[in-house]
Amino acid sequence: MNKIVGVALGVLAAIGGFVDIGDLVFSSEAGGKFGYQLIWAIVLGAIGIAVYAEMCGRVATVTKRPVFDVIRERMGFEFGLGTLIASQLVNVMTLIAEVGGVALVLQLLAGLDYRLLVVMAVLVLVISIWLLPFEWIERVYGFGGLLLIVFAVAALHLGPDWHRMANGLVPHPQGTTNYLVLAYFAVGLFASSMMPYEVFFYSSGAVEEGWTPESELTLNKITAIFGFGVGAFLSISIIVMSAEYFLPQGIDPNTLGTAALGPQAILGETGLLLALLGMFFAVGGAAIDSSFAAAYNLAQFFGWDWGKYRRPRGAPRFTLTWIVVFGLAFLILMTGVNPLYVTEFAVIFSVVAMPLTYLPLLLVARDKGYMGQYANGRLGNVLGWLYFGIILLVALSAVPLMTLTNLGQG
Amino acid sequence: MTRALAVLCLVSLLAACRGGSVTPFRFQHDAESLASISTDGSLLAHGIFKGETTDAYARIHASELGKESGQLAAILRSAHPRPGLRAKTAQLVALAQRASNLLGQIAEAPSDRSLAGRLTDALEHISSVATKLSKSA
Repeated sequence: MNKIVGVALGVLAAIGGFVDIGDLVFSSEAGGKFGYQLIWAIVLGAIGIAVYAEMCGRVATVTKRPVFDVIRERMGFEFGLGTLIASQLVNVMTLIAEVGGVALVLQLLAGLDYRLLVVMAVLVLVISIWLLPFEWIERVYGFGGLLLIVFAVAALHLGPDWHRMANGLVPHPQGTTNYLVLAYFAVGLFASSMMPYEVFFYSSGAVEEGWTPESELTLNKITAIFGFGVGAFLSISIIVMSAEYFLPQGIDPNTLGTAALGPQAILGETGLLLALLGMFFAVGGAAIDSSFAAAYNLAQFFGWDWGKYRRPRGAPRFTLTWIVVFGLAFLILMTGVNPLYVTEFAVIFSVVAMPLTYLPLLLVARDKGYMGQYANGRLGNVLGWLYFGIILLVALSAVPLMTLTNLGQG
Repeated sequence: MTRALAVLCLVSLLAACRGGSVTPFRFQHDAESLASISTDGSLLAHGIFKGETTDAYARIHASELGKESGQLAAILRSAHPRPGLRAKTAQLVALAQRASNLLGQIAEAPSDRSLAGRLTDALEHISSVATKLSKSA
């Protein structure tokens, strides 16, 4: 039973991290603009997040300490503080985008006023966290997010071009002259796969569930590969559906409403409802992940008691932090800011925080003095450094690409 | 007095610059956006006609598309087209405004299947004209 719960943790992190509002927006638009060409960016991101999630799960299991704790100890107070500030900014931006996304999806489902639905979205998420045990949050939002499989069904129904799909696994631009926009979407897809809040949530979850090296390290590997693999599969399904349905008709699917039109047009009302419900759970799960990541980071940095498994009274500052970040997201959304714009900024700026998160993690995971027999093997080190190089490249190019392409609009 | 005049000049300048200038690149981009919005609206209308969507979704999505199209018309109306693009820009503004009105009708009556059936073709027509305009830039 514990193993099933463990896999569920990975699935929740994967659905919430991989198929959050950022991924829905970037995958849908990427498929509508460039067809199958950017599938490689999702695969690259999926392998990257699986590599680092496995490392952070292992570090958390062996040391019994989550990633942020390790960052502060390993890299010192100043570096830790810099990482904390960058991560918290990205976490709050992500939370604004996700809560706004939940409200947009609820609006498409219920047709009520957007601001009223922002209130409802915050209430639903806060009440879910307050009332549901950790496992049930995972089950409800993680497995609810799997309803997004309707995009895969719709894509199969359209008869995807398998040859072009296989070509899309290798980066080689075809039939486009706007290489900067293509590069912007590649960066966006990669970044939305590797959002740092995923590893903060994942490693803290591992500590909360009391993973031990003897019984959970294999499970950790399976969870990282399977969980993020499922997320990647769903993202690729969205790209394929978009490439087959929107691209030939010249539609730019840059809103959640348009993204849901594909399953509706192909599978009717049932397709529409499944797509919207899948979006609700996936985006809602990501909102919970990012609010928890913000609370975990702050509590772990300052050494407060933390954890969902403790009652609110047992970890009052941790509880107060996630409530406050929800309140902040609520206030900002009530000003009328467009959550889809916030999403793009959150994804692109997360890239800047990535090296600060992933470097200390890699240094600890490969340190034999710290990790003993559980330190990275040769493959883990090669993949870790390779991905760190890619992350640096992406971090340097993200903001210039966002500016030069006017948020991918050309 | 001098300060008030300076502010007035600045406000007039900003108002005049609001829509910017319409270059061939921008015209093509805006025409493609309109084609995308109206095709999207046409498919939505077709879904309503076939009874394969929900009222809430139809109303919200049509309203969202209508607003986008209306904003496109408003921005283009206040923009300054290059000499060769004046007539085409005026045509694009009229098309965007018409698409916005049609989508507004869907948003107001999302369960009216016969209206949706009529608007499917009208929106498809706007999309095909906008596509031709984008290729002519």
